[in-house]
Amino acid sequence: MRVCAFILALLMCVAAVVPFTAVASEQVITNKDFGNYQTMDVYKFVEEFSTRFPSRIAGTETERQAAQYIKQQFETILPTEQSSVELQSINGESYNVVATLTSPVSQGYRIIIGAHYDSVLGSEGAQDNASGVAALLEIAKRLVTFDRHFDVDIVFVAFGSEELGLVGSQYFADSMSSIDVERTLMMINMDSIAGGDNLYLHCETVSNDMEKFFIANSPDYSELYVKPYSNGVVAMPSILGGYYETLLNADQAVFRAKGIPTALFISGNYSTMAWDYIESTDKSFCVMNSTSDTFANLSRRQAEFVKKIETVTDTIVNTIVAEGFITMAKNARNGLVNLDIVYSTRLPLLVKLVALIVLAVFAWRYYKKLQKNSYINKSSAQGTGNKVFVTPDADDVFDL
Amino acid sequence: MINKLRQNYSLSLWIVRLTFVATFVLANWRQSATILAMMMGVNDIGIALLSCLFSAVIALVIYPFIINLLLNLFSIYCVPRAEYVLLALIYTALAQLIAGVLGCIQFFTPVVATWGAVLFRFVGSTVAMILFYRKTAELYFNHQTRVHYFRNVAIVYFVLMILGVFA
Repeated sequence: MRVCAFILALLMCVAAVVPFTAVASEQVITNKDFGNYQTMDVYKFVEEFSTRFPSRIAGTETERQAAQYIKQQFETILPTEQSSVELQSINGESYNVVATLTSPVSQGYRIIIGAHYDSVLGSEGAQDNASGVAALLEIAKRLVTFDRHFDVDIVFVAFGSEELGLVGSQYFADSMSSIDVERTLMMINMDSIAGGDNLYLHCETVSNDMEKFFIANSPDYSELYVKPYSNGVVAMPSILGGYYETLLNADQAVFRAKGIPTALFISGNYSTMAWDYIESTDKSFCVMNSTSDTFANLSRRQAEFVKKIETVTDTIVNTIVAEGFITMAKNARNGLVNLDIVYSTRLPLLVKLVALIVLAVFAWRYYKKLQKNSYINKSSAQGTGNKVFVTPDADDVFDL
Repeated sequence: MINKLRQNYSLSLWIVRLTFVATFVLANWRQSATILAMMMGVNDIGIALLSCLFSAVIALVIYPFIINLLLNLFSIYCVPRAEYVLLALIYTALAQLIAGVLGCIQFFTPVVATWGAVLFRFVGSTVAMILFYRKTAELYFNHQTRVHYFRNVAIVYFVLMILGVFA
């Protein structure tokens, strides 16, 4: 009897607790188990995408097929009544895949989340950038499970022709009207997020709270680092408008140039003695833009690469749904540093020209003075005969 | 020590050559690393330094020809050529040293990445050119010949600076 009562009490306790531990569709993810990482969707996508569409070179049939595949994935994930999916032709040679998830309460604002899908010749592009595309699709999947409407429309873009020089992202950015630019609060880019040693986030730093906001909303299991100050950060003193991160040469750069705040997720290593970014201290994992960028090589990272993709996914989703996201994003737009001051060479060249003009004036005056002296002090037109080096004394000849 | 060096042209020349190469690498290693990374996808500081060293040696070989060509162009025959080239190397090394040291500021406060690329070399070159002119004018030219010399040095300086502006 006592045993039955005990068991009943235990069951009631479990029944009371279980509803609060079950994962609701709207719950922000803070923890995950990566024991069965090979069953996770992102793992399967990276494997399928990189092995089925290797050498996704810009402008080729393989790239086009990869774009079609991504389009089909988005069409499967996104609800038809709230979304649109299309292929944006880049001068008839390549494609951006653009999927939009609209919200009836967005107040006209939107954010762009992007990842390029092309690769270089001979490369499966597992790290660069099937990993980013996997995160892009996973974010879409996660966001549609939320019942509530978001404060922003979300535009997912898989960019083509990135390896040719950010062609796809530049085309997309250039096709945006001025209204589109105004209503875009932020652009988040994911590039090579899985294969490097560590996962980094680059945002605007001191001038606004963007970076802190993302980090605060990253899941508990994550190891997400911000790019260290000393590694190539360009900063302006606060009197000139605040600090900001350097633009890495990735798709977010073209949006930043249009005055849209950006966040870049990328894996690599800034902790070595190298003066710049490296992918890994282990050379076998330095695969970007090479034929070594294969799924087989990436899968040597085992659960770590899946964990990085999931970290990026969960961080972005948690951030978008977090309280205060819109306020932070609007502040980020207002807190941007004028890029012309730092990146443009016009101002320093102008300073150099002005300095040259001043020097020319002084040189002219000195020249006139020399001319006057030459009239006053009549000398021979021969040289002075002076020399720096003299003949060594006989006993010093071999004395070093 | 200086007197000893003044009596030993050969030793002085080698010291100046080594200094030139070292300061050339100091002033240009970052550019070399950037070019290697962007053009060839090579991200190795050792290779960047080696390529910079190679460029320095080539510059060292070409430099005397350029100096002699300019002296002939401006009809300046009253200077001992070998000495003059050595002095030019010394002051060019000084310009590179100034540019290289200023460039190191970026590691501590990378505030002036773009400004520094334009202005650090300008500052180094201007200081070195002024000091070079003063030394050589004092050594080899009198009141009569100094006018002609200054005019030609000024022409070379401003042409180089303007080409740097529009390059």
